[in-house]
Amino acid sequence: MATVDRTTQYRERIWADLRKVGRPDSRFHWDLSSFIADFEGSDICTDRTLDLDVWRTLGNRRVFITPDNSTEELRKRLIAENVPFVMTTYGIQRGFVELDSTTVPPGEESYAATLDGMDRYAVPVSLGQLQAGDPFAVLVTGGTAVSMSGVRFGKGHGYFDFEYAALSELGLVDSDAVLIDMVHDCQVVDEHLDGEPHDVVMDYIVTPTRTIPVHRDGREPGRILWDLIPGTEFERLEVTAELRRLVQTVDKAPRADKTIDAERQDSFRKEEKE
Amino acid sequence: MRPTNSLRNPKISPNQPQFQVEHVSGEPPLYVQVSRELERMVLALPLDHSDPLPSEPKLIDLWGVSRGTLRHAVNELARTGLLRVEQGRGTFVNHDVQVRLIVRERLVDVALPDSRFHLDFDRFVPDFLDRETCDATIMARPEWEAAQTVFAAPDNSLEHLRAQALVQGKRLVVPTFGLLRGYVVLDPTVIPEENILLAATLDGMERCGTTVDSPSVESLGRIDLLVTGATAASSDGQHIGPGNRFLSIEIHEMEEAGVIDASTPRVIVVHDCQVVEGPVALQRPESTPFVVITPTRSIGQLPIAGVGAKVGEMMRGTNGNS
Repeated sequence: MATVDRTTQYRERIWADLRKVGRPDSRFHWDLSSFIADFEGSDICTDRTLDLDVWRTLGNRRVFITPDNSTEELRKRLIAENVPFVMTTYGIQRGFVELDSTTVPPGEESYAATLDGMDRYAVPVSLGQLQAGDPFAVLVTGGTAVSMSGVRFGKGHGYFDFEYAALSELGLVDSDAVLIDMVHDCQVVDEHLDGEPHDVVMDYIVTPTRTIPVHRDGREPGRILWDLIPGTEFERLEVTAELRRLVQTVDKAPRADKTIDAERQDSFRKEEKE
Repeated sequence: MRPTNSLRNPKISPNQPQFQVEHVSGEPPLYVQVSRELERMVLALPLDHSDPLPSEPKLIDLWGVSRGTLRHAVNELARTGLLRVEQGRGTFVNHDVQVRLIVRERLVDVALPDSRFHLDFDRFVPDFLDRETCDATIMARPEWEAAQTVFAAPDNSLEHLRAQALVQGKRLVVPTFGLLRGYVVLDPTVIPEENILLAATLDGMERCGTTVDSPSVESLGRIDLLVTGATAASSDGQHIGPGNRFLSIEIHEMEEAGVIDASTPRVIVVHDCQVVEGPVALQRPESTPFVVITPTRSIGQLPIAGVGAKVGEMMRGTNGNS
């Protein structure tokens, strides 16, 4: 298909560019298929991101940030400003975590912002706990490539798509939530690509040199496409199993005769027998 | 079921297998069961067992399985690296892998996950519970006190120690993970205080230091103390396991460049469960052994400067607190 060839071409070109302006990962080196690279100018990109209005109107609503190298500087700034956020562990292997930024001692912000340091301060949070909490005002991710129409692409694993869909399924992301993609200019494709149905459309693309609002009419709520899970790395994740239990069997409104937890226990037992 | 005879002296009667391994539908394939049984036996062998495994006919009789099933099981273990089949000579144990498998089971209870590799211990050297006690032990030693430049492996278990080195004004040399981008040199006099912890992480260290490539290792200058973590360590001072596969290369490069020599103190930091009793017949043992430091004990003696050749003698039979 012409679109597939095009995206592959773009990705190859972008990866070549990233080797010049990007930064290798501590462990994955230049294997760009294994991580989202930090890049020159990511600090300015972070400035631009934090200039967006959404940060001043958070209220009780939450922040989600991906565990990308390109979002590390943003994490550092939020820690320094005592803004808490939710993140996933790398590859979502150990689920979601939340960082109460006030638990990071002064002087340790840059450390806590790294993936290595994050493990010392962030606390695991279950989907059930997230579901019981406040919705998300803003979700920030890095990426491989993004089109001007706000469609991300590239040989990604689809982690952010999954994270967005999972949080949506839990009722935590509404159409007011702001989705931000932080990338280097070389990663922005000056073309309006149509995405797949399950692609997440971003609200802002932010680079070191520009802040690009994406114009869209509303946004489809994120949905996990359960049929696409088997055979992928998502199949074996604990979060996937937990999400299945939470969204496939339980009403959100509590019943008079049972607590939600008891209901979930029953559904889980039923599922186990199947 | 266990055989009643050890692998070393199976007294086999052809018509009386010592125990039967039968395939029951719903259970794993027969060759898998046999390979698990064989693995269990191999892991129980001495770590320097240099004889080949008993011959095929003996093993076939031992378990009452076909030649094909046995071969399949042996191939399975050869595939994982635990066994190696040498044509015409027999099947041998790879003791490096043997130790790795023994220790890996134990690590689950004490090891901390890596930010990216999580609990896949073959890919990294983990930090572990009570590692702080090892840090205190090392920092109390005169070799640490006197060291101006410390080489520290890029192991998670050494992150805190690396930070302490910088705090105490010691120059730090840390190879990049997998030695993919050379050695990082961290100069504590130019790293701001708010970046010390960052500089001790793999994620942050390259931003906080300068890089020296392998051909220029000489420019590292003299290293006074070498500290490493490990997947496993033997009581006779060897580091073992895939987590430190690059350490031997780094040591070799540094010895060639004169940056370290046999008198350079060298230390392995591991949890007690990662220590196996030596000697271990490793593929590529280090000629200069390490002192092994765990939360409960210190095993081995450090070399006295200028007494390089006698270190081996001192190490042998030293198996208590230093």
